Formats: sequence, structure tokens, C-alpha cells
Amino acid sequence: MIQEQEKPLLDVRNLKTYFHTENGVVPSVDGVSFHINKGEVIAIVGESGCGKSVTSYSVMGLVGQPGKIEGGEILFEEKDLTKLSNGQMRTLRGNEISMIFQEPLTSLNPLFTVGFQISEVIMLHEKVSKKIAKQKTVEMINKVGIPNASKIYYSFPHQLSGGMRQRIMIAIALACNPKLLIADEPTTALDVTIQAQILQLMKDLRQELDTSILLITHDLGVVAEMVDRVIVMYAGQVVEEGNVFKLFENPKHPYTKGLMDSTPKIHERKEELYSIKGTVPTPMNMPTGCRFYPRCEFAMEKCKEKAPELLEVKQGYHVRCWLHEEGEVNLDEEFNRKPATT
Amino acid sequence: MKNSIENQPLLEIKGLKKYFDLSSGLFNKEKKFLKAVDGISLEVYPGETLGIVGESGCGKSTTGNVILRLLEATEGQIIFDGKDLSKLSKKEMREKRKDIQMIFQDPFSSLNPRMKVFDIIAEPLRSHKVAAGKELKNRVYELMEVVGISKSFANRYPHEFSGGQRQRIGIARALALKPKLIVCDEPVSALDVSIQSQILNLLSKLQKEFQLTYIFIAHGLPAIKHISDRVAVMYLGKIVELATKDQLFDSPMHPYTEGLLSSVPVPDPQIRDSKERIILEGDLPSPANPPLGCRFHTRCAYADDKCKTEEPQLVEERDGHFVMCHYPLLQGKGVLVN
Repeated sequence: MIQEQEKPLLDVRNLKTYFHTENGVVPSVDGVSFHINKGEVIAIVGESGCGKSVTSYSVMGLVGQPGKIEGGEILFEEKDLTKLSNGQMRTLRGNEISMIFQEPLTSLNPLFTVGFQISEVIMLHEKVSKKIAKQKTVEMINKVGIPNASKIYYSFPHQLSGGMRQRIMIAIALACNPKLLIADEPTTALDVTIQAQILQLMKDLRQELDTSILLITHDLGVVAEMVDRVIVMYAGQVVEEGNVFKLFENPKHPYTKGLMDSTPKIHERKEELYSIKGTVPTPMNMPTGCRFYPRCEFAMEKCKEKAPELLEVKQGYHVRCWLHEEGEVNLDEEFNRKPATT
Repeated sequence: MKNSIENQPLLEIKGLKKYFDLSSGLFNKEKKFLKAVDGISLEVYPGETLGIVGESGCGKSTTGNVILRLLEATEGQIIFDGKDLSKLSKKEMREKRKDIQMIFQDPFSSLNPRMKVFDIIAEPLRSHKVAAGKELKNRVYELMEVVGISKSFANRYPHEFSGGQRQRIGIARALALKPKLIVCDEPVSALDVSIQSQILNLLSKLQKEFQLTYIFIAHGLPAIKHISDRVAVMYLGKIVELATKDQLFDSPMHPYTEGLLSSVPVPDPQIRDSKERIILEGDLPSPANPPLGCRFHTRCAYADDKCKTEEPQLVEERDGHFVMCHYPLLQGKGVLVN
């Protein structure tokens, strides 16, 4: 178990990242708050367009035009990252916070050997000689489970397979022993047997290096396998946040429950599959009140009119839903009590 | 499923091969081939869903394309309704395509951006001269209703729709000619979870309603398990295991299937510590240069010298359970829990 920390490593408070497009302002991230403790692994899960990637890009300071952080604080070891200059951010990135992306082929430079790309990071941040950087690089390549490291050092990205490239990306990200690793869909582009290898590698390295990990994913399976705490996002907001065991056993937000019930599960014999009606709202037709209510099985009059706040229903467990206004409710029981309205 | 025709396969594939020529250069005498599909045989029965699953480069999509003759087979027979499709002339094949339709993976690139939804769905009806005028209109509206797209959207263009809705349009187009067989090539891979389940449920509903037969090609095992009656597992151009869904997911007999099933993350954190994981080592070999002997021996924990030299055959080890392995697992670890 993770010990209680007095100060979290990363504390995001009421983050707002908006995109100013020709068709109007798109509030991709609309008041998101969460924290990561030291050594903790958390996941932000949600469907496309929910703002999970933009959240991680905001933390990294990588939100480009026409996007802009409009409000909120990103406290990393009590420093507000939103107030840092580009130069200050650059020394932080790769050194204290680093990131691995979904598609390793587009994140690696095709013109340089992978060895050079890893040692570049080490030389830049640790100010060591070429020779030492190379030694450390070979060590890193070994550490991420690639055999024959001194030969791989001289390979170009196109000579490696998808799984190997993602290992190289992990080596680059971990080269300077960062305190926080952000992994944005790190296994989505990989085959399932390779995904299993990469997830195992991330678990092993986490134990070894004691790095906190923020995992961005849409795959509930990966979440269940990897993390301590889960944040569920919907339409730019956090709708549920809590311990992974509690959340999977008894989801509190109707969206989380719907998402779980509509995921086909490989280990269950059950035949029917639930589906959430409708589609994710676009910023142009965002419902007033609760953003999920048009798709919600439990929607009440109140949901239509007033947007719920993120409430703490029990110690360290938050839900944005009116159902839990007067104390925690079990969704399964609630559903049976109500006549079904298909 | 009708009992009288249960034993008569709708589609029978025999020794199907598809090689792609990789040799280049005028003076290069050495011929090199990528054996995308290397001798597969299978049968598809009316009313069932046959799932084809495998990792990238295993030849599952090529198989789908060859069945529709979007790619010409190098060798082998594709017998549909008693006729060998690979021997048909272009004209005869065109006629046969009324009975075999396809749903594609990417709903963004498989719909013509310059055509209205109405015309996209009407196109097969028009080009096969099945319906015209008022009848055509009614049929298209009927199809839109069947797949759950409001009639009022008939004059819109594909870009105005979300991914799930576009996939519905693609399904309506495939249904237009009342086909017997639909080849679904990764129909839900590009979609979000909540939309995925809508489309999977729609496909199941349509199958019952119109007595359709599906070949469902996908890399996602949970979706395959959800929709299929029987499942074929492919690895580097070969079918390595073919069985009913329950047989395959409960007691896989091929070491590859066992590893594949075990590597799927289960959305239940209670299982993560108790589960014994089999992690397949190494990478997928290139299909241009597959290993000799059993193709899986480079990654197989059970392989011995025989596997390195001698290629196994697809053998029926249990009733309806086919495996291509010298040492089929008698107690393979499945993933189903009660």
C-alpha cells in the first residue's frame, strides 16, 4: 500500500483548457481537478473527445494553438507549471516529467539512430560526456528488455518492430529517472501479445524506479490491470474518481456503469451487451444541467436543469451525480427499484 | 438456423492461398513472395457467425478480401452456394456479389464524401437495377430505419455524422441487396466502447431478423467472443485453431491461442493478482519470412526439435475442434470464469 503523503506529487486544480476554433470556443477540459501521490499509478479513462489527452498535454505544457490553458493550477511539487516559461518547462520535461505517446513510429525521429535519441536526452539533462551517455543508454536499452543492446544502439526506428519501438520510447522517457511518467494510450497501437509485454515492463519498471504514472487510456481492461486509482472523464469533466477496486466493483456514476456494461468481456459467459443510448455531445450542443443526462437511464428532472458538482461520497471517492446527493446509492438497486424506461 | 440445411455449408474455402510478389528489379531473378494467406480451409454454415481473429499480418483481412474477390486468390477454391467463385467471370461475379457484401473497418474512408446518405445506400440498388423510382425510395428509407438512422438525414453528407452513425450507414449499404453472407472486416475497431456495443447489438439483431451469415474479422478478442459462434485463430497466414466459441475460450488447444487469450487485459482488478499470466515472448516474425517448421515455434514455450523442422497439419482433435500443433494442449488454460 502507498503511504499517506502530506503533499501530492502533482495536484491539478480546476484546470480549464479551451480551444479557440473558427466555430467557437471548445472547452475540451472544463474544470478538471485531480492529484497523484508519489509512487502512485492512476488512470484517466474515457472515450474520444472527453478531454483525457488534452489534460495530459496541459500538464506537459504541450497544448498548441489554438488551444490555451484558460484557468486553474497545475502544481507539480508545489510549483505551478502554468506559470513557468517555455525554457523552464523544457528543463522539466524529460527530466522530471516525461511522456510516452500512442504511436511510437511518429514520435521517434526516423533520421537518427535510437541510441542517439536516448543519449540525447541524457546529455541534455544530466550534462555528461558522450561516452557516459552512451554507457547509460546501453544500460537503459537493456533495462527495457531489448536483447543485444549495443547493436540495437545503432539501429534506426524503421528497423525495429512496433513493440521494440515502444520499448525505446519508454527508455527515452525513463532515461533521466523522472518523478512522473505520463503514458498516453501506450499500448493502443500494439498487438495484444505485445501489449501484454509492454504492460508487464511498465509494472516492473515502476517497482524498480518508484515513478508515479499517469495512464491515459480508453481500455478498461488495461486500467483494471495496472492502476491504483481511476479518474473517469466525460465531456471535459471528471465524473467519477476513486480506488480501482471500489470503482470496478460498484461504479457510482451511471456513465461509468454504462461504460463497464457495454464493454465485451473475455472472461464472462454472459451473452447480452448493454449499450448506452445516443452519442457523446459535441461542444456546440452541450446539454444544460448534467452533461450526461440525455443518455442517462437514471435521469431526473433536476439533472436537466442543474449541473451536479463533484461530490465526495466517501473517503477519497468522488462522483458527479445528483443520485448521490443525499448519501451513497447503489446503482444496481436503484435500477431495480425504478421501472425500466427503454 | 434451419435444420434442413444445417449441414450444407454456405461457403467453403479449400486450400486458399494468396501470395504477394515482393521481387523487384528487372534483373532480379530471385522470386520472393509474401505469403499472406498460405493454404487455409474452412466452412461457414448458414445463419452462423464465424469469427476470424489474429494479430497484425496474420492474413485475416486478406482472407476477407479474397472471398469477395477484391483480391484474386493465388490458389484454392472458394465455393459459395455450390459455385466456385474464383472461376467465375467478372460479370458472373458481379451478379454473385449481391449475395456477399462487406462492411469495412474505417467508416470515414469507406463512404464517398461527395455522396448523400440516400445515394450511398441506394447505389447498390441502382447499379444492380434492383429497384427504381418510388420503390427505391421506400427501400432506402426502410434500410435507414432498420439500422437506426432517421429518415430526415437522407440528404446529409457523411461528414455530418459521427463514427457510429457512419458505420450504420455502411451496414445499411451492405444490407441493401439482401445478401446471404456479410464479411465484416473489423467493423467496430475504430469506434468508442459505448458505440461499439451499439453496433455489435445491431449486427446481432440484423442477423436474427434477416437470417444473415457473418464472417467477423477482428483483432479484438472480447468482441470476437461476444459475436461469434465459431472462431478461427490465424497466425502468419495459417489457421492454427478452429473451434466453437466455448471450446476455444474455455480450453484452447494451441499454445498460441492460450497465450493470446491470457494476454487480453480483463476489466476486473480482482483478477489481476490471482491470474497466472502467460506472456508470449518475442515479436511476430515477418510474414515475408516465416519460420520453418511450425510457424509459432519461435515464440512457443512447448516447442522442441520436431517443431523446428516439421510443419504440423490442422487436425480435428476433439469434436469440431481443429488444431495445428504437434503437441496440442490437453488442458489449455481458458479465460472463462463462472
